[in-house]
Amino acid sequence: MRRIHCLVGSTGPSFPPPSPTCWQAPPMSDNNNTPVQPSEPAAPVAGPSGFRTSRSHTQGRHPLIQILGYLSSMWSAAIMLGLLIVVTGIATYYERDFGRVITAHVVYQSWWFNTIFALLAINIFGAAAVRFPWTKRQAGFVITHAGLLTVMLGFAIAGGDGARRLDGMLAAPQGEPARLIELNREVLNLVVEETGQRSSVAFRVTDYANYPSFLRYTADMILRNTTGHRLIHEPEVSPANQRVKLTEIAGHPVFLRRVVDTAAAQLAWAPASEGPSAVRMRLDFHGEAFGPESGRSQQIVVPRGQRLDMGPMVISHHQRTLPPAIQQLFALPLPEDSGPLGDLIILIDYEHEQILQQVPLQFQLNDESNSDSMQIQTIRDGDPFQVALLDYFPEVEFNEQGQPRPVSDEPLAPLLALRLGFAGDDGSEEINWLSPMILDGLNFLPNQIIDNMWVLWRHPTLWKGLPDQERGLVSHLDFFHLSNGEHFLIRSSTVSGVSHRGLVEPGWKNEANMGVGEIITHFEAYLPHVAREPRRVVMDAMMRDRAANWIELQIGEGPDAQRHWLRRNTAETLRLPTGQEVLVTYGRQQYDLLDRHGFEITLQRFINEKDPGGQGNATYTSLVRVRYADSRPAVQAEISMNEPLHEGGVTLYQTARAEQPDGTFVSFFTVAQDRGRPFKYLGSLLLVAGILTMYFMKAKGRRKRSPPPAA
Amino acid sequence: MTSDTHFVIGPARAPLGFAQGCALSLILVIFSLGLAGAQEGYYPVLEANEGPVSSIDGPLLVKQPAIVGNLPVLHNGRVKPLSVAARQTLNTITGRSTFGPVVGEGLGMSVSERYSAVDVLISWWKHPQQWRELPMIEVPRREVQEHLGVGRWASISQLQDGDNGRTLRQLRQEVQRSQDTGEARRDWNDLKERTLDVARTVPFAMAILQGYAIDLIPLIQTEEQLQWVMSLDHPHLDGSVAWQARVMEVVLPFATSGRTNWRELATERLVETNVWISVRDAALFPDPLLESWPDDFSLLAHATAWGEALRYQKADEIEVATRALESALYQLAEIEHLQGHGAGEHYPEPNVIKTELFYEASGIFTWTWLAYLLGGILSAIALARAGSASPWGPLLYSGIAITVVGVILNAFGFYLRLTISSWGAVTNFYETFIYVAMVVAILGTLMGVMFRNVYYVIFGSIGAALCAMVGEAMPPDLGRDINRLEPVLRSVFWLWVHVKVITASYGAFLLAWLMGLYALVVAAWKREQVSNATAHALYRCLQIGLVLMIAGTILGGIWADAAWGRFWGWDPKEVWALVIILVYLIPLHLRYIGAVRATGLAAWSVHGFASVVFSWYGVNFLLGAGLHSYGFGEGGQHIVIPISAAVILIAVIAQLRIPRIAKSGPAQ
Repeated sequence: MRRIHCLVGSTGPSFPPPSPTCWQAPPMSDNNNTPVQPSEPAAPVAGPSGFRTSRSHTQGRHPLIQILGYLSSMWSAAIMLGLLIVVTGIATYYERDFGRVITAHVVYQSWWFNTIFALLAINIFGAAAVRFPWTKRQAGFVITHAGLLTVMLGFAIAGGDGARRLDGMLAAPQGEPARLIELNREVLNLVVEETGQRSSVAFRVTDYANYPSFLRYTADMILRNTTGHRLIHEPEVSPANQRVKLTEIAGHPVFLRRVVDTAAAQLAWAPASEGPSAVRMRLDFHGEAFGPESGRSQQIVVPRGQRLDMGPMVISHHQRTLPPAIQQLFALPLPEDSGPLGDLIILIDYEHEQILQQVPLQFQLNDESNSDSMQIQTIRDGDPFQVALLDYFPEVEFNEQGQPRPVSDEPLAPLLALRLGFAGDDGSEEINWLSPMILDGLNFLPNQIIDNMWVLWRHPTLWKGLPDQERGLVSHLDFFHLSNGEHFLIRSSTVSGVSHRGLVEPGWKNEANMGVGEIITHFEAYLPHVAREPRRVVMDAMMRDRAANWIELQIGEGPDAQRHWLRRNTAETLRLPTGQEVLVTYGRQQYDLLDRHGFEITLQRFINEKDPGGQGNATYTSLVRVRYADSRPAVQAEISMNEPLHEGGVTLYQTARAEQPDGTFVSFFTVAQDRGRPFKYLGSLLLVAGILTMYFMKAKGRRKRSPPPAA
Repeated sequence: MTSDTHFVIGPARAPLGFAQGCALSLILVIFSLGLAGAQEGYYPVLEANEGPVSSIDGPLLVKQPAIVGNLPVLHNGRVKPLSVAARQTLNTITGRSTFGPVVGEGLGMSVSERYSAVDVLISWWKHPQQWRELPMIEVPRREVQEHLGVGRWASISQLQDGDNGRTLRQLRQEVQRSQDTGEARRDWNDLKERTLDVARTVPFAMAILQGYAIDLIPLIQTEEQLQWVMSLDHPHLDGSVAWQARVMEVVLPFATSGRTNWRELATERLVETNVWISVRDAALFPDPLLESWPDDFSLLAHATAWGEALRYQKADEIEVATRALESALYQLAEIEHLQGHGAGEHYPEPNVIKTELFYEASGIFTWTWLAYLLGGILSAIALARAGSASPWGPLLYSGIAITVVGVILNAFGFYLRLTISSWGAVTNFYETFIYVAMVVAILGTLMGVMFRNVYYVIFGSIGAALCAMVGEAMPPDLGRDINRLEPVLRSVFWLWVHVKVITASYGAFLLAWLMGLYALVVAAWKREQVSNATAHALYRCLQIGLVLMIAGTILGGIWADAAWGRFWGWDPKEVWALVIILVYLIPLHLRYIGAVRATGLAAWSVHGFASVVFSWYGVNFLLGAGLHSYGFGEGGQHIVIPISAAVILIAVIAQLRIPRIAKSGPAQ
């Protein structure tokens, strides 16, 4: 166990040369005999290897140099390094969640990150500077530090997001010249023409985007891993009204109200403080017909006056308001002996009473001379009332037994064209005909004849559903407002008739079976006001750039303010109240290769070789033709993985490709320019040279000091 | 093809313009509609029971002549011996490399002997319908077994029909939808992720049973064959599933594009695409479409004969047919290749196939870690027996010699992999482990001998053994199986330099980690400080690691500048390399002011290794983002995190037991 004793040793805290009876390792550092006295700053402090701290070098000198001494101390270096470790480590998670561009904006290009870097640079500089004049032994140390500073200078030159660094994407469709690079910078541009003069203002949208700050993200990370509580909920919805005044055009302030990244491509209705009312429904889809959507829920909002056609489900939210008495139209049972055409129900809604009249339609079918008419005696204060059948378009036919059956598998509605009229007040035979109306046998909607008079046609087959047809192909939901504030809903289906007619409240549920699938509709809520907004979606972290981005602009203030949503990479002309027009464009900033670097490229052929069997990709190669702005002749070039094109001071490298339907490709190149490159290379070189020098000096020192260890 | 129309390989994701985005989405939709038949992955999907009905009575499993395993086949983008393809396939589907009594029992079958992967694969080909009903797909996770209501192994019919079939299909479709739209998977959780593994195995297993996924003959090898394919006027065209899925998918977009030169473009693409004829179409159920295929070497005839021989299971006929087919196929390597492209270019020389057979049979990396372990144990015994005397005696030298043998085996194994894959560098997770094992062994032995320090030798060997063992214990799909390589990594020079230097630094840090942990534990046991000699030894390791890490990072920057036009891009792997540098820079600097001393350095060697673990494992497996994470892995966190935490805990406890030094106290 003697060995172990040697291994753990019992010598002091410093690194004296190890006892030759223990490990026969020669010392690595130069002079390890001086004991450590770190807590005695009064005297020049010497470390274990005769090391003097930065502060001991600057003591008693100019206050600024003393500050440099503090900033370049070992402890501040350690603190800086520690901070960098923590920050960059967490930043890799931030990048996973929010993407490269945002992380660069929030972390790597932020003032505080640059401050840490600058302090570290001061530290590295100071550590070498305060020890001036340097001894020969310090050569390695000085070169290493100079190398580090040079690399950092390279970063400072290339860093930031200014004009010094270029990082964008060039899309080159096969056969077309490509010169416009899209940069990772989102810009909003307002172009106004005033008295013949065009003026434009540009804003960097990313500055206003609502990403969680790094601190908030860090707190969220700690909390969710300890308590499970979350501070950030994705998709994070930026609060409305956090508006920023961008500019003023002709006395109208222009505000940027919101920036929404990762959203759906289409605007959707969402609760708001103003706007039309709406119903919110939740649809649950079940069954094979819906593929991956099966078992999924979808929330939809239908504003008043809108009709939403979703294929198997049509939801109409009607604009008009109906009298509460309308329920009676639907409450009356359909008589068993109603003829093949069913009946008409007429409702007259007086303030004090309602009159309901059920009229069987006693027409002969297939009657060529169909301008039949019939007299309805009774109503309207005794006035005779006449109904004339103008035409009937059957989509349902009757077999020999008089049983109805659909003409086709997917029957359209039978239609009934009617004209209604009233006998004149003078008691004459003259009838005042109203304009003809067409009643739809499928949509059992109340038709208004005149102010307070309603008619409903009930086709017996479709009211009850076709025989042997258990399923509906298309399901209709008709949502009405009653004048007493209640909501009335009719649910009908193409072939299974009316399954619901009555008042509904949130919580109402309906099942519609389509055979291959089933849709369950929940009436979730009635929203007093809705407005169109981008619907946020959670994107895969790697594909965030494929999401739609939106910004909301507000022009003017107060109730007359206009609001506009603009999608990324679109342009729109907005009209000010004064009639003046403003062209607004929002998109990635573009950068012209031909103008700025004097060339453009045309993708001639894209070679995508596959591994044997045709499954995996083996090569991606773009054959391009480079055309110059000046008189130089065009040249051919090849850009492939790891073999970029260096042209005009920029580098184009193969990044992605997309296949077109005609088999041709669009090739995507990342275009980069790094003006800090020479410094980074020089610095790296110095760094390596410095490290080697340190080794060399130490080895030399060791050879001088100690004889080679005995065999 | 549908899932593959958009790849991203550079640091910036392709930001599609609005118009382009719309156009591309439309294209994708049209394209997916046009290829609705090929939606379930790459392979054509047949109805569940369309598989051939075997006319053979007799046992399901038959032992095949060994020579069958030597036949070169195309599997997973690479030509390899059938035995290797069969082992990999069997492993993917059943989680086992052979089929023996224990597994057979699990499958509810009475299996008296152990059958090789080739035996099982051929049985699958011959009796697909019976196998469809047998539990053969491994469902490794218990929660997934419960979710699907199946046991450890489930049959294809259990997973393809009814509710399970719907559940699994929906999972695959959800992943496809997410890929198409870029939206994150909805309501995704760990259970779904685990179930997805099974969901993906089912169509693959079905394809394998039907004879797809393993190919035999390149379709276009000569100009004549190219002309034949492009004539596009063949009888039985509609009846050929493979043709529709593989050839028409390539040609159709051009043919319908209305371009005048579409033939030319389609021909180019067809050559690039490198289509092969599957075992099914060539041998098991010869595709009538191929009857007119120009076949200079009678490849199809030999393949058909081979298929017949397998079907009627006559051992001598199988041997003869296999030999005939094998020699016919080997002629492909000699054909003058079509315009420098074409399948023939990839057809390996016979000796490569033989090398792979040898590599597979040798289990060379198992021998490697055994040698390392033995070398380490012998060296440790030498140290223990030496007592106060010098351990440098015959026992230690033999330990070192055995470790050196391990290094030689390790290097030879690497050489074999290089010969087989033609890119012999550290290209995947598994290879980093066997490479780091070699680095640790070399470092430990060299430094041990140079500095006469036996601890380097011991921990070098033991660290190498650990590394190689972990590599061998890993699931084979993390790189043990030699497979195709990402195009961006096919830059041989930089791959050699950058990756090898970076991973070599892991080796140095690993050595410091083991030695530091040992020193801390021993010091805690003795309630003493870690000795300065140990600290020096550790310091040397950290220095070497740091220098390698800095050099590797700079080399990586140069590669990144050459390949991507920027030196540094704050990519996660880059950031974590920087973190490693910073982590180890701190003690090396604080040492100067006495803030980190011997015990501190030992502790730092242990704790600092966490940054290496994260960069090595975490970035790819836990973070799962970035340019450097070629092939995101997942899983393993239930092993890696507890072990890392346990080691750190041990080190912390040890540190607490080590008496503190009075701050201002002078050294003795």
